[in-house]
Amino acid sequence: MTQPLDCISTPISWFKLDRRITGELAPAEDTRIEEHLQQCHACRASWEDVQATTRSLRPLVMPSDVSESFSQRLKRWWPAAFVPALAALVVFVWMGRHEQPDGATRPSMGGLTKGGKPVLSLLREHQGSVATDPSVYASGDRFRMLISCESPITSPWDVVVYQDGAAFFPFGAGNTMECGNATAIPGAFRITGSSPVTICLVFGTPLPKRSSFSSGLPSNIEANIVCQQIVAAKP
Amino acid sequence: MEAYSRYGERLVRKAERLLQSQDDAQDIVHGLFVDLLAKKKTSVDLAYLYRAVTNRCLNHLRDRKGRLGLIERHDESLRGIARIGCADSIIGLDLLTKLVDKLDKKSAEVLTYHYFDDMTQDEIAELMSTSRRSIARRITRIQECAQQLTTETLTTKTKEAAQ
Repeated sequence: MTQPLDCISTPISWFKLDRRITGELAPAEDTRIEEHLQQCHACRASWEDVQATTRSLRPLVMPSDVSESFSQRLKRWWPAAFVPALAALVVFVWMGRHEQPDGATRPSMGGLTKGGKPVLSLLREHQGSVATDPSVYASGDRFRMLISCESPITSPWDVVVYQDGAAFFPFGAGNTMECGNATAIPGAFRITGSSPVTICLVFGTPLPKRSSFSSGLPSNIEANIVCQQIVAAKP
Repeated sequence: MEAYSRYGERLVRKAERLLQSQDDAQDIVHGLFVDLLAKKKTSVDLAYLYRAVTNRCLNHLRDRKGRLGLIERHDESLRGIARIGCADSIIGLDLLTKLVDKLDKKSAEVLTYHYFDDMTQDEIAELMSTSRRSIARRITRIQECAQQLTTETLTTKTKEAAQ
């Protein structure tokens, strides 16, 4: 840590300096801060730090339907979609009657198995280079996940990583994804150590509680989990 | 998303001050905006985003594995300029992780604003929509807790040296 600098009175907070550089302060407040900066070496250095800060931001992929509400899309598309949808419903009902003469019910997959099980791909970032679907890792590598679904679905999700018999959750809880073709799971995580690692994406409604993963994958929700195992690369 | 281009850099820098890791800071800010997009919440101000980034950083510090990784690879220079004034002492990453474990969520949030963002009690009270008195109480509790943890660490080190 750099040596602390003494402020002449009360430091101008980073929040205020950030609001100043984004042009959100009232003129009177701006003048007051300018007067303080003229006299205070510590805050002037902080302001110079704010002005000099440049950070490249990760690209933010805009989902196609964000700018348009569901009702707007419905108005635009329903005439074209109505006939095929009705036809699909008729075929679906007909197939259901013929495939299940014994009346057995299909297992519920939370609406996610339409078109088959989603496919999980890993991206491994190792010393500046990126590899797709790796089978090995080196301690400290970063990983990102891509998920592909045959038909667009929206679902809550979580990621659980098993290593040395312990489960950990690299992302915060309460996430929802719109799965399409190679949809990136937001965020990344690092793997350290040298033992085999199993990375699983869990999805579906309801999403199982995290505590149910502590002693391995729960067997009763197997259909809603896709996993990949990787091992440590040999030195 | 306009808020991402307008505030993204500021928020990454804020997260870096706390986590002292560029990668983790970028992940947290990116993840926040991806979630906001998914919820179609595109009209947000800096105050809202400051709180959201703070809480995500604190959750990251509470996570055992995430924390171990951070401590291994943290870069102290990302803490940036520390100013002595309203904050009577400087808190490093090691003490921060211990305090986050001991304090309740609101107090951990106050700790971040006061010791890492250099905000005054009035500013914190306004940001968190609470009274200044409540913030003052939490800061006193944080100081007591930090003092206790520092004493415990010193006692442990003294015992180790004696053995």
